[in-house]
Amino acid sequence: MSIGQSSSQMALRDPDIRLMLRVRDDDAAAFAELVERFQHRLVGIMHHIVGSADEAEDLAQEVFLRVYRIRKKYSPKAKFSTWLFTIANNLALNALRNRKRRPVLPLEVGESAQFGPRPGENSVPDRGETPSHGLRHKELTDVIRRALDGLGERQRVAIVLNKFEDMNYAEIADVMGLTTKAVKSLLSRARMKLREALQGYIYMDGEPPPDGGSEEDE
Amino acid sequence: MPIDPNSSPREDDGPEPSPAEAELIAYLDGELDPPAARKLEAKLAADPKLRARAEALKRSYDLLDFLPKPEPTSTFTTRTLEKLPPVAAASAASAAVTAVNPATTPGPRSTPGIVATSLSGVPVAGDAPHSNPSAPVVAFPRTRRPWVWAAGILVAAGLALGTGYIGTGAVRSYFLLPSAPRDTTAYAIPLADLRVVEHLPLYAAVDDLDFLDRLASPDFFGEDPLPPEGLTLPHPVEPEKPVGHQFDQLAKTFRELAPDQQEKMRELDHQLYELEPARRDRSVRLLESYAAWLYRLPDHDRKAVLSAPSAEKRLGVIRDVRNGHWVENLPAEQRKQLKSQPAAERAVLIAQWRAQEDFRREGWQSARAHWEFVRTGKPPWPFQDDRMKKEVLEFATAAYHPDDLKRCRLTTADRERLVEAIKESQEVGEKAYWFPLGKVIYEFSKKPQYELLPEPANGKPVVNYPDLDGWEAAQKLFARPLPKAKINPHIGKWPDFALEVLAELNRTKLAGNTGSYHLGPCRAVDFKEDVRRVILDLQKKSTPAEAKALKDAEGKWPDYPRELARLARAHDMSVPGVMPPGPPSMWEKTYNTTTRPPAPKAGG
Repeated sequence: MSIGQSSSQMALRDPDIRLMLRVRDDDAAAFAELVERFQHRLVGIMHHIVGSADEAEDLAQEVFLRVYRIRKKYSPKAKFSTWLFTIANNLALNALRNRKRRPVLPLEVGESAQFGPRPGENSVPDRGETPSHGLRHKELTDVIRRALDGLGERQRVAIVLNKFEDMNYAEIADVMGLTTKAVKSLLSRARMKLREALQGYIYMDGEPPPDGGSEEDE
Repeated sequence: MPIDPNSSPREDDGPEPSPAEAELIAYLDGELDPPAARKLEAKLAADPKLRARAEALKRSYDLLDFLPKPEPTSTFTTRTLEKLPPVAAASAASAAVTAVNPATTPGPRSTPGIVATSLSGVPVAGDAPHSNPSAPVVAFPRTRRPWVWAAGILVAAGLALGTGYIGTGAVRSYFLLPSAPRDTTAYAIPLADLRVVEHLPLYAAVDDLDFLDRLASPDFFGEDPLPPEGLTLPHPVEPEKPVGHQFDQLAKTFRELAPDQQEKMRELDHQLYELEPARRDRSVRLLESYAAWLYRLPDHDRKAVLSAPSAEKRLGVIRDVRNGHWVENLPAEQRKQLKSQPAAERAVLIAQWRAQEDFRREGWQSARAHWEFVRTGKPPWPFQDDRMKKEVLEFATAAYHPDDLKRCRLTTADRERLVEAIKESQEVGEKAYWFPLGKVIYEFSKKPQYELLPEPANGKPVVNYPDLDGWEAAQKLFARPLPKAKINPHIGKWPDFALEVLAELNRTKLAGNTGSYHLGPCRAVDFKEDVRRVILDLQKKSTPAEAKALKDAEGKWPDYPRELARLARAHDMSVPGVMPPGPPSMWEKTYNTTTRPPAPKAGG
């Protein structure tokens, strides 16, 4: 949505902006509706970023409360979700940094990656090793979770926004306060890391990898 | 913490990828401009190793779709609202009850974006494309919210069949990667299918038009909220159109459906666009509400809806899920009350509450249909004008005699409705509510059994036997035993008594077309002053053909007054005492709710 449009035109087009304008005007029902409407996306995104369900809910809640606190400052200049996710991004990164400063005991498997594998916990199999067909769903999701946790904080946020909110580079740049070029670099590093970490799991249905797929030439 | 927008990557960001690698990733993300994309596609076509790298990148990225889709706990909204500053919290908490109640949630209507953008991956209802595990399952495209697709396709293809996420068939299709780089011609569809493809997210979980009609009941999604305040809807309702990549994916999904599934979608689209516009608008909104609701469901509920084997079963599942939500979202106090009751009592209590809700819903529906009046607090047309208020009230009393049982022609229920509406209009100040009166008068004016005909100038209409003394044909008729018994119930009622006499005369051929002037006024001079004025007016306005038709009816009752009323309607005039005061077109526009009510002017 271009910046040149008047707010009323934009509001006409974007129901979320209409809703937020009502929140700005102290419409309590509108705020409740806003929470209803965005909680699934926010909790989902936060969970993917921080890896813990409880923390994700707390953070999503904090995002909504912050929206409410700064509602009077809202002006419809961009897509509403961009604004919302900007707040979410700041809160999520802060949380991750605080956690780094004051490490807590990992509560969920997903968190373990930051502290290295737990004793007895198998790390990602070596490249070229094909896991058995019997690998259970839980194990697979744990592996993927660890791969995601292995990314840098900002990489993880960018990946999650790109993958689960389907934001393009420019939108991610808006949300994260970066240039598009910086996002491109962030994402390509992250994608390479993911490929590295998950290499052993991408042909697990027994289908042979295509020619040249098993060897990397970089 | 402020971030430098151009900050160089930090240690944990890993090595800088080669420019070629970064290019490949940007290509996979759809971020390359067309010339660069074409160039890379040429390279991909020529280089199997590059292709393999691209595929590994894509597959590893697609693996993220395996992560569980986290859902907020059911108390999330309430808990969040409770944390608001005290004053706001009280009103918001009560608002939350409505906001979270699926029966009243206004969300879907206002989330066409969600529908159009997020549901592109919803699998088609029923299990045709997935019923056979070995049948080709649509490739896993990148959609706006891939977990929706994951929930949809995987659930329908995998879990619904009991094979689990890791069932080999499902996994194979899950990992299916187009072996060639994106070929835009692969997404081409015949122009005739364009609209079907654009609407695919809305059509996907619908069996047929009949299914949709059933969804329109208030038990399902019949609660279609109106546009937000101050907004006009001058154009027909059109869902947001998917563009670019989204459209490509929808086109691809459509092409990969089984031919009979494609045909089903086309048929539904065809039927929908055959509907008259107002009904189609309502149906499109309904589709949006339904799709948005489906999108928001927890996985297991959505799975249950989508995998139902028939429309009937699907409706059953939807009803159960919504009923469950309804109870879950009752205010805490009511839920507590419910818990403390034995099971049998519970059902009774729920039924009672639902009945109360139905009652409130009816009120809301009426309010919503005329929300500009509700919003502005102004009475609807023609009640903004004191003279018109008086005239309409006089008309209602004189035409329908609600307080005079002997003369009243209305059924008991209709009479009560009118009495109630008059009472509401007579409340003091802001409590005065005029809409029901306008509505009831409009509806009565449309009912053939309540047809009104002008009374004669002398104020003595034919309503009993003595009124017809001196008319030979009538006396002959009354001498017979049966007719009197048939006519008696209409004594005292104009024009019912006269019409009944005429019907009997015609049946027994005692009068034919002559002498019916005995029954009621049928020449201009027979009518009261106000009606005569309208006749004069009409004579000036009417075409020669219209004037002739009226002239031909002269001397015949009720032909003449009927022709008069027809002519008046054609010229948007009202015949006093016979039609509600004011132009008929305004009554039609204001109170005919079978088509959309007039959109209010913004800010008006």
